[in-house]
Amino acid sequence: MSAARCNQRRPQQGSVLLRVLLFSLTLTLVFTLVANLLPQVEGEAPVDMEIDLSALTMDDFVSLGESIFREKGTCTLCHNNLGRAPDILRLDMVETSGQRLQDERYQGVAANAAEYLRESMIEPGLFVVKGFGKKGSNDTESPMPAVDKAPILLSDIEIDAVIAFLQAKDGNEVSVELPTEMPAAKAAEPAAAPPAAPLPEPADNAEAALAKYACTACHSVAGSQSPVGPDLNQVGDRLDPGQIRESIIEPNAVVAEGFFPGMMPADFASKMTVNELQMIVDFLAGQKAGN
Amino acid sequence: MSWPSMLLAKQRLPLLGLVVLYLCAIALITLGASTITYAATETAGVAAEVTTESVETSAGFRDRLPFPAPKLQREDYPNIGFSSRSIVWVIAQMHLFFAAFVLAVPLFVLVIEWIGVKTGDERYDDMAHECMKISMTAYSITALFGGTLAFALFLLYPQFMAYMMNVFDSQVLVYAFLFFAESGFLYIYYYSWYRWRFGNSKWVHLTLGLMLNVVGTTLLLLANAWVTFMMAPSGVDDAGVVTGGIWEIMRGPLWNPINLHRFIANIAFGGAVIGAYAAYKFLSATDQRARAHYDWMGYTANFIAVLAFLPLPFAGYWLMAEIYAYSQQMGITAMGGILAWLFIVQAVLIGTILMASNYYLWSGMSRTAGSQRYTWLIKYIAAVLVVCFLIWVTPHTLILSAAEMKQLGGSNHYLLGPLGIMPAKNIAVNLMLIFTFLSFQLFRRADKEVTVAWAGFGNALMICIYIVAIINIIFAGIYYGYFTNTVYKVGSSVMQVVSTLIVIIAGVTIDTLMFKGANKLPSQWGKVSNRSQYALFALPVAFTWLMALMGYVRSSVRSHWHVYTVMKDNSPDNFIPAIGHAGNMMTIVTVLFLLFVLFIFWIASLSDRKQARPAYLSSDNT
Amino acid sequence: MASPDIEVNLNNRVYTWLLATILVVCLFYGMNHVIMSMQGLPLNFDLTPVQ
Repeated sequence: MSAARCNQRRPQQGSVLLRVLLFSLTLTLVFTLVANLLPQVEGEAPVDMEIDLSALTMDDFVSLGESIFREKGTCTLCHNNLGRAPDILRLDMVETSGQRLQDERYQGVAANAAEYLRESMIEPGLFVVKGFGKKGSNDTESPMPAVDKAPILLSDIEIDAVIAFLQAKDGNEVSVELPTEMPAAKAAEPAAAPPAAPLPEPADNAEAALAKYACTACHSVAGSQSPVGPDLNQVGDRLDPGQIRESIIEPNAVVAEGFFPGMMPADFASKMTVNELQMIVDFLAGQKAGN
Repeated sequence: MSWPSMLLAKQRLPLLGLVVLYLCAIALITLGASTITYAATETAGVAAEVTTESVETSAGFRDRLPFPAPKLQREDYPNIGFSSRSIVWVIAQMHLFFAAFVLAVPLFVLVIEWIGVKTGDERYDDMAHECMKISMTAYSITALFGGTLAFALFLLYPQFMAYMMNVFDSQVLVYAFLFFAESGFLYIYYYSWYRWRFGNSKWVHLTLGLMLNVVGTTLLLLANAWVTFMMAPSGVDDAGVVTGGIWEIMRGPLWNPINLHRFIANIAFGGAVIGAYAAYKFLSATDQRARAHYDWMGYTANFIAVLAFLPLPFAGYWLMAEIYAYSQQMGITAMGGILAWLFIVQAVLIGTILMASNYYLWSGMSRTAGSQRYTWLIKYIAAVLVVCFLIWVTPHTLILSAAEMKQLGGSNHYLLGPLGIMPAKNIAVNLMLIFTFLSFQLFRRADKEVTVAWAGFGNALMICIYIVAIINIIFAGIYYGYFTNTVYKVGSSVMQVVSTLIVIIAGVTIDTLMFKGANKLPSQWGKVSNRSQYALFALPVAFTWLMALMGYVRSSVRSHWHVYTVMKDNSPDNFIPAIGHAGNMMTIVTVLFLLFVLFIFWIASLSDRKQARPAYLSSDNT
Repeated sequence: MASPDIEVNLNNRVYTWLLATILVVCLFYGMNHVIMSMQGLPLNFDLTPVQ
C-alpha cells in the first residue's frame, strides 16, 4: 500500500470510528432509558428486628406477624391469589386448620390450630394440601421451605407472631402467648443494640393519613391518580360516613362494582388510630361533586 | 456452497468425531481436576466428622478445623469510601466479557480452520487466523481484568473469599495451572499458524487448537462451579462446613445448566464481536477486494452468532427450571418478584438482536440475483416481527405509582405476578424465532436452485411445518394459557418451544438434503449496503448489554446471601438494586467494553500497515 | 421448480400437499401429547386436559 493511499484512508477511518461509536452509544442509551423508565424497586435485605418485650401488646405482636408474613417471611411470594399455594390471606386459617386435622391424610401430631400452623411452617411436608404438592409427587411432598431454616430463618418468636397474625386476621382468638424473653443467643448480645424502632407518628390531618396508609396508591383521591381501586374524588355523593367507615374497616363486606374483594388490605382497623380513621372518614364524606 | 452447508453435509462424520473427542477430553480433565483435590477434601471431610484433636494427626495437605461459613456483621466489611459491590461489578463484568470472547473465538476458529483444510479453500484459513489475531489482545486484557478482580475481591470481601478458598481449596490451583496451559496452547497455536500450515503439520496445528479449546472449556467449567456454588451450594452442611468431596461441591444442581448456557452464549457473543470487527473493516475498506473479504467474514461471524443465539432461550429455560426445582422461592424471585420488570428490558434487547439479524439477512440477499424469488415475503416477515415485538414489550400492567411501589416492598404483587408466565408473550417470542429462522432459510436458499426430484414434496412439507407450527403455538398459548389452569399453562409453553425447535431442525434437515448438488447462482460478496453493516454493530452492543443484564439477575436471585442459605451478605450493598441503577451499571460496563474492543480493532489493524519508507531515506537504499 | 414435467406433477401435487399436511399434523398432534404427558399433564383425545 502506498503512502499516498494510507494518508487518503486516514480521515475516512476516523469518521467510520466516530460513526460506529455514535451508533453504539445511542443504542446503549436507548437500553438505559428503558431500564430507567420502568418502576424502580429495590429488594431490601430483611433487617433483624429488635422488639421491646416490656411494652409489647398483642396488637403489636399481630401486626409484627403480618409484616413478617408479607416481608421477611416471603410467604406472599407463593401464598397469594395466583394459585401457587393456598391463598392464606383469603382463608380463615383457624377453621381451615380444624379441617386439616380431621383429614385422613394428616400425619402430624398437632392437636389444635396453633400447633398445626407451627407444624406446617417448620415441617411443611407433614400435610400437603391437594393440588399443591411438588410436581410428580402426587401431593406427598411439599414445595414449601421450612421457615426456620435458611434462607428464611424465622426465629421462634417470629413464627409465633405469624401464628398470632393468622389467628387474628379473621377475628379468631389468639392462642399464642406473648414472648417474655429473647432467645439466649440474642440476649447474650451487647445491650448497645439500637433502640426499638418507635411506632410511626400519628398523622396530623386527613391528607397525611391518606398518604401514611398509602390509600393514594390505589385510589384516585386528594390529587392522586390510580385505576387500581375505586375513584374516591366524589365518594361523598355515593356513600354516607358510616358506609365509608365500614369500607375502611371491613373492605370486603361491600365491594364496589367492577372491583374484586380481597384487593384492599383488611387490617386498617388494627393499624389506624381512632383519630386518623375519623379524619379520613370526614375528609372522604366531604368529597362531593360540588367542590 | 457456503461453509454451513458443508458442515452439515459431507464432513459430518469427522466433525462428529472431533466433537466427541473434545467432549471426552473435557470430561477427563474436569474429572482429573476433581480427583486431584478429592483425596485432599476427603481428608477434610473426615476431619470435619472427627473431633478437633485429630487434626494434628490427619494426613494430606488440607488438614484443619472444620470451617463453617463466617457470620459477618456490617463492620466486618472493609469500607474504602465507595460501593464495594459497584467496583467488583464493573471489574467482574469486564473480565467476563473478555473471558467469554477469548474462550469462544478459538472454538469456532478451529471449526473454520478445519473447514479450510477439508475444502482446500485458503480463505477460511486466513479468516480463522484473523479472528485469532483479535483474540490475542483480548486474551491479555482478560488476564489483566481477572487479576484485578481477584485483588478487588480479596481486598473488599476478605472473609467471603477466605471461605470460598476454604471450600474450593486446591481446585483453584488446578484452575491456575490450566490458565498456564491455556496461555501456552494459545501462543503456540497462534504463532505457529503459518509455520505449520500444510500436510501433517496442519494436523498437529489442529490438534493444538483442540487442546486449546479443551483447556479453555475446562477453565469455564471450573469457574462456573464457583458461581453455581454461591447460588445453590452443595457438598456443605447448613453451617457451610465442607462435608463432601470437591466433585460434590462443584456438581451442584445449577452447574450443568449454567455450563451449557454460558458455553452457547459465549459463542454467540464471540461471533457478534468478530462480526463487528468485520463490519468495521468493511466500512473503512477502500478497495473492492477488502470489501468482499470483510463482507464474507461479517456474514460468517453473524451466522455463528445467530446460530448459537437461537438455542439460547432453550438453555435458559432449562436453567430456570432447575432454579425452580432447587428453590421455588429463588425461581419466583427471578421471574415473578421485583426482578420481573427486567424481562421487559430483556425483551427490548432480544427484539433488537432479532430485528438486526433479520435486517442483515435481508440486506445480504441483495448479493445474489436469485433472491428476487423471495423478496416479496420480507414485508410480511417484517410485519409479524414488529407486531410480536410490540406484544412482547408491552408491560402486563400499567406502570405503578410511586406510592404503590412503596407498598409493593420486597415481595410479590398481585398485578406483577402474571408477568412470569404470560401466554401472549410466549406466542410472540416463539413466532419471532420462527420468522427469524424463515429469514435465515430464505437467505440460504437465495443463491441456490434446487435440482432434486422430490423438491415439490420437500417444499410442501416445509410450508406445512411452518403453518402447523405457527397454529400450534398460537393454539397452545391461547387455549392452555387462558382457558385451563396454571399447571397446563406452564406445561404448554414447552409445547410451544418444541414446535419452534421442530421448525428449526426440520428446516435445516430438509434444506441440507434438498440442496445437495443444487445449482449455485452467482453472488457477489461486497455488494451489500454500508447501512447493513450497522446491524453487525447493533448485535454485539445488544449482546453485551444483555449479558450484563442476565448477570444482574443471576446474581440477584441470591438476594442477601453471599452463598445462598449458607453465608449471609451483611455488607451495605446487600440489597437487590433497582433496575434503573442496574441499567446504568450495565451501560457503564458496555461502553467500557466497547472502548476496549475498538482499541483491540485498532491494535489489530496496526500490524496490517507498514510505514512507507520516507523520501529522505530512499537515497540510502539505492 | 418450473420443470417441464409440471403437467404430470399437477395431478400429483394435490396428493403431495395432502400427504405433507397429514404427516405434519400427525407429527405435531403426537408431539403435543408426548410433551404434555412427559410433564405429567395428560391430554384427552381432543387435546383438552385430563382433569
